[in-house]
Amino acid sequence: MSKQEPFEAQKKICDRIAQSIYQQAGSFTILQGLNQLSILHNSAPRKQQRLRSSESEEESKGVGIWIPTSTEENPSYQRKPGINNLEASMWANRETIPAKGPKKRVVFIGESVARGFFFEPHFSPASVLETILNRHSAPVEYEVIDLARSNLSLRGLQQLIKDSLKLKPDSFVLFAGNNWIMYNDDLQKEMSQFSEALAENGDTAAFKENIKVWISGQIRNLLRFCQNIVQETGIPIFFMLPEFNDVDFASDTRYAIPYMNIEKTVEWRQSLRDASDHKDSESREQALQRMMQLDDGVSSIAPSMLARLYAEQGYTHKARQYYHIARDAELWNWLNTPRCYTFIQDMLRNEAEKHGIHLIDLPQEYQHSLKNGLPDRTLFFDYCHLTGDGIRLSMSAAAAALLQRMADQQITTTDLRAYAPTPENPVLARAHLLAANHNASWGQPESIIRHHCESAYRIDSIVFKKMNHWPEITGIPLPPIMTSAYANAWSGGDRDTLYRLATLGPYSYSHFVDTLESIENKNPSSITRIRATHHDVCKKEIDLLSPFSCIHSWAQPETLTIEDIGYFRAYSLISRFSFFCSKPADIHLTITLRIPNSEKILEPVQIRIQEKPGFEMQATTQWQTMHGTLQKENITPGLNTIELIWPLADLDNEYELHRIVQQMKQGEKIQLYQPVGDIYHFTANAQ
Amino acid sequence: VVTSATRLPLYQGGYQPDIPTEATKKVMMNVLGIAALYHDSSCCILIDGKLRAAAQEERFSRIKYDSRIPKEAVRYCLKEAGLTIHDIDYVAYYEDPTKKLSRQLWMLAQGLPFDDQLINRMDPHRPEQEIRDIMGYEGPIEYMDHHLAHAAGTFCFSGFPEAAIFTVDSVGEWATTTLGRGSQSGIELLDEIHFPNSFGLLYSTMTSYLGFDVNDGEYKVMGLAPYGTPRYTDQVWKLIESNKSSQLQLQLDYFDFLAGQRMFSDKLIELFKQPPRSKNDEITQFHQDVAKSMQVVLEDLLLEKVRYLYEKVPSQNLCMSGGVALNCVANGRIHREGPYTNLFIQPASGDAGSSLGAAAYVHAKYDQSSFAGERMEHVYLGPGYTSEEITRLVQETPLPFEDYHGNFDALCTAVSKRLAEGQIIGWYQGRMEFGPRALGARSIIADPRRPEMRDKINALVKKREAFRPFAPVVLYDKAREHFDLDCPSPFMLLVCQVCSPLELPAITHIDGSARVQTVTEQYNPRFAGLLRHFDQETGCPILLNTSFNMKDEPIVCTPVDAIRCFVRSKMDALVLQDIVIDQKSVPAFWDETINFFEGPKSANIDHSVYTFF
Repeated sequence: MSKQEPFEAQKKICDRIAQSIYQQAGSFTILQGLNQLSILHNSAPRKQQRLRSSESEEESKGVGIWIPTSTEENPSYQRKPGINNLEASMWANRETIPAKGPKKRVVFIGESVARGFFFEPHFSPASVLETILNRHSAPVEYEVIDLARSNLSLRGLQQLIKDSLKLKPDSFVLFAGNNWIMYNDDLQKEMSQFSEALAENGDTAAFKENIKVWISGQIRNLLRFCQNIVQETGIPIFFMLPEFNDVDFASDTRYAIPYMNIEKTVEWRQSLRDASDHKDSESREQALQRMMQLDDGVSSIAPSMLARLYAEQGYTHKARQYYHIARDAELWNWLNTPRCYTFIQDMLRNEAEKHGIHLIDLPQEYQHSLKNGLPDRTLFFDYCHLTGDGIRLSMSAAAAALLQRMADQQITTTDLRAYAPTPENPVLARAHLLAANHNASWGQPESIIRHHCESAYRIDSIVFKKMNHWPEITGIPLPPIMTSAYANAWSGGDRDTLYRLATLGPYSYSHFVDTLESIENKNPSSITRIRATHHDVCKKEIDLLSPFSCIHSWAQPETLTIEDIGYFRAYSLISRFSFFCSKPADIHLTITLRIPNSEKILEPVQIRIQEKPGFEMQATTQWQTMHGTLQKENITPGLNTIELIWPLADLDNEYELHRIVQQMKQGEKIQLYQPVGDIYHFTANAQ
Repeated sequence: VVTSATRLPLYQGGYQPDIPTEATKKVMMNVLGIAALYHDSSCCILIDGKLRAAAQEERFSRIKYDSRIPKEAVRYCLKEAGLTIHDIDYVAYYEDPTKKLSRQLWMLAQGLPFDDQLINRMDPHRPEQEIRDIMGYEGPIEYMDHHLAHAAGTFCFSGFPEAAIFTVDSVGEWATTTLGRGSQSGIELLDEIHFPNSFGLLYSTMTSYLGFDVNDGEYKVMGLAPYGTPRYTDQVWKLIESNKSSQLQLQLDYFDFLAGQRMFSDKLIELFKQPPRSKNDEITQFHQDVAKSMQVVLEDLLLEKVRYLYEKVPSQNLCMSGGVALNCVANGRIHREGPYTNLFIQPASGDAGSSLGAAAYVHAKYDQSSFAGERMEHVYLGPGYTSEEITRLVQETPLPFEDYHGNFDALCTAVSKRLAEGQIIGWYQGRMEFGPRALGARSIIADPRRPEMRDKINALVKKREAFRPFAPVVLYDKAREHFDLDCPSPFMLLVCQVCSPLELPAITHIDGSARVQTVTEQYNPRFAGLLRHFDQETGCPILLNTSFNMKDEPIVCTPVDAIRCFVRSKMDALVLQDIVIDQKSVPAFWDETINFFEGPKSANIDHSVYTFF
């Protein structure tokens, strides 16, 4: 036998197996199964390529981004040299941490709420806490070491607590819990093991439950870790429990259908139509309750609408209950804003004290302060970031707890609030302006964007004018930092704000832009000029699938698909596309679309322009290119919005769920809404 | 006999895509060629057999060698062709997933370590699934053998009515090298070398031993070789067994790539009596000598196989493709010393170029037309931007600029003057090149007569190893006055000796050689125009030409990419079509915010060992 013969024989066997795997559907699963059973395993695991995030990779000479200045036993710390601007901008605004002295040291660790998001670097919760403590506790002096970091994860929190023991604290204050699902790489890695429930029958509720159970385990680990610190060092730990802006942050900006079978889907969509169309509240309530029964509580649409209905009727208790259900409905969703879910709040309420941790229950403090009212814009800028009043109230509650435990002083939150400083007007105006932009980015209603813009203008119109270059910056198809408008804003000051804005995407925040224009009411021409130069349908064909036209919010499920697949996959029942038209003209649309994986398409696709009927198209399950014209009578000079209303269709969920499970196994982020349509090409042309 | 391709209107003040009408769409055959899920994914579109657009995904995603399904490149190709996804009649895929799975199963049987993700990547249905799900394509998909795609990728674009074909790379399915012939009626592969025996893996193994990245650093070894002496050829010959037949056999005990962790074994280290070089270690004479030895052995081996091929296919014409065909020093020897008179090398000879072969083969097969297509005369197949579009964008930046719109002569005069003063210039014109070489559309250019220029560009602009040479670009009608070259070299794939009366230290390699690009007005009038002006200004019709990118980045694609790279690299000036921007006019605060200008994104392939999956 020649040297080649065994090789050729093996090759033939491999050829046969490969052919068989290819030809018989499902046979590759056998290979995957054998691997999972370790029957094929025969050697060491392949090397891991994933890098750990910068917040946790430092094993730690230092604390966060601060490193010791000497090898002494009690050194001071300074910021690491050469750290990049973006990372530096995430952390509390302090250059140095002094060596421990005679002052009582409170180490303050937390997420963006703890940083005073929108106020930083000018005004921070830590500084408010320090002021309150020192104004009230003389001759004992306190120092609050601010170690807050935006996007701090659960793992990062634990690491930071451990590292900051080097700072010899007399107490810890932890203000966290909003990021534990959204910024959790460990959870992402575990996701594939939760996918079985989805693979079986699209049971999103079971999937959601699995996530809750897993996160609960992680929280229990954190509590045990904190308990060990308390027991071993005697350093008390105070945990500030975050709250969510129920009234003025809408959780239901995604009009998307969770996975259900076709019968339920048809009824769910009909109930949604009923709830929107009916005038009498009883019928609306019935329709919305039915939706919640049908979707098993994994959509925020019905509970949000119910909460608002009850609030309008003055049923505060019921409204609170449904706001919470809405807040929690989509905890599986990567596009959710950070938030502290009810199960996390309950767990900390039930278990913190048992682990020797002092809980500062902010939801209760707020409820008390609002005289049983619901948390709203008076305390929150957006979903969880606090206004000046919100910070003052929260830090007063923290100070009350600290003084009680550390100095045995019984002072109420209300009393201490009088000692809390307020941000200066320019800082407050800037915060409102940033909040307006942030809310617009998350697709929030115009009323809240207008509230923040008007507040900024009222509080300090100079700040407002300096910062209102932003719409120009985002309207140009260039990275923000490359624009002349950015350069002008840079020379005008407030560079920290610009740094942060430069990381945002180029979306058409039309509410924000239009609101700014209408308030300033002075020079709308700059925005109009940019739109006319770069986005005018009268001058060139406009690609309605560009982010400028079709992405209106970070919360849109379509944002993920645009990155992951080569076409626009719609999950929202209504897809919106905007374009600029300098003068009334007939607009010709060309669209290539399909309703994927459907057996029956029950209605035509409707195109509306400026909320008026445009035309209808009968879509099929395969790509088709269609043309239509929007009459110039319906076109407004300026920004126009096309709505594409997707028809009811009998979707083959099995195929989609299989695809989702595969994506999860590959470690990819997934979207758990039913796709309602695909668009490959969509252009508008006035010529 | 070489036929000319139809010239596309490329450079005269921008371009307009030739958009088919609804009526013509229906009668044309539209084929999309795809190479993906391995490394350096790409897409091309053939309309009625004519190549209309081609691009690598990395240029859009900005991830070097991006291996994912080329969704952005597909969208670009369709847009350029005025088509949408359902206008496509066939997707031609550049390899056969079942045969590839067979080879992968064999590797697992040899003990290659693996995990869940690897198993998922082996799924032979994955290409189809991703073409359906990610590209949204619904029509027929035609798989073809990887080396057949390489063979068609060179023969169908060679302009030869018949030719011998030689494809050489690291690995496809089983084949790593093929010998064949092409004619108007088809392509026939006569002989194959099978995995694990592979010229590419041999060269990559030595690349890894010399401390460079596999699948990326092979051309560095080629660049390092002229510094060395072939002292170690005996050792390199011990790694293989070859004879004058088609075959090659690696002595596998010197190699460890089947174990999946590194390319070479301890026995190879013992053979060379030196530990492997680590990435940041100094390069010594030993490394240079090993590089030279490897290069010499490779050239000898390839010549041996080409001579064998000539016995089987005694044509005048030879077509080459595959990653190893990017070794332009070896190509030069094959051209000079080999038996074939005419040589055509696909300019994107690596895997990216096999999307072209797949598409051309499928078109000829289903259209029942000739496999011998028109010659590929240029590679300007990527996105382009009109002068108006660029000006409109730059006007929104704080960058002042000189505008030469409608006055190309004045632009050339201004740029020539800057070059003669020693400036380094980013030259961004027309449609982007397809393939690994920047050929005057996305190039960094400089005066080759300046002795300091090579070190300056390596250190300051490109931030790469000092030994690496730069290539010259020369007007074709003046090439013989300066280079020992008797044919056009439009794709920078041939190395020859410099014989210029001028001192050209910045482009002359240590052994007196250069990797030449020749330019004519016919295919790149603006680049040729600039060279003529520079010649008039200085008496030198040659420029240094290197790719417009920084270390670990893909070549720039859009004007914004070009501005980013220009700012970060500190080139002296940037020419964006008709406008010139001076580095001195870059706002000071852009320096402070430099971190916001995207640097390289991490590659999604592993460079420590060859990617077999």
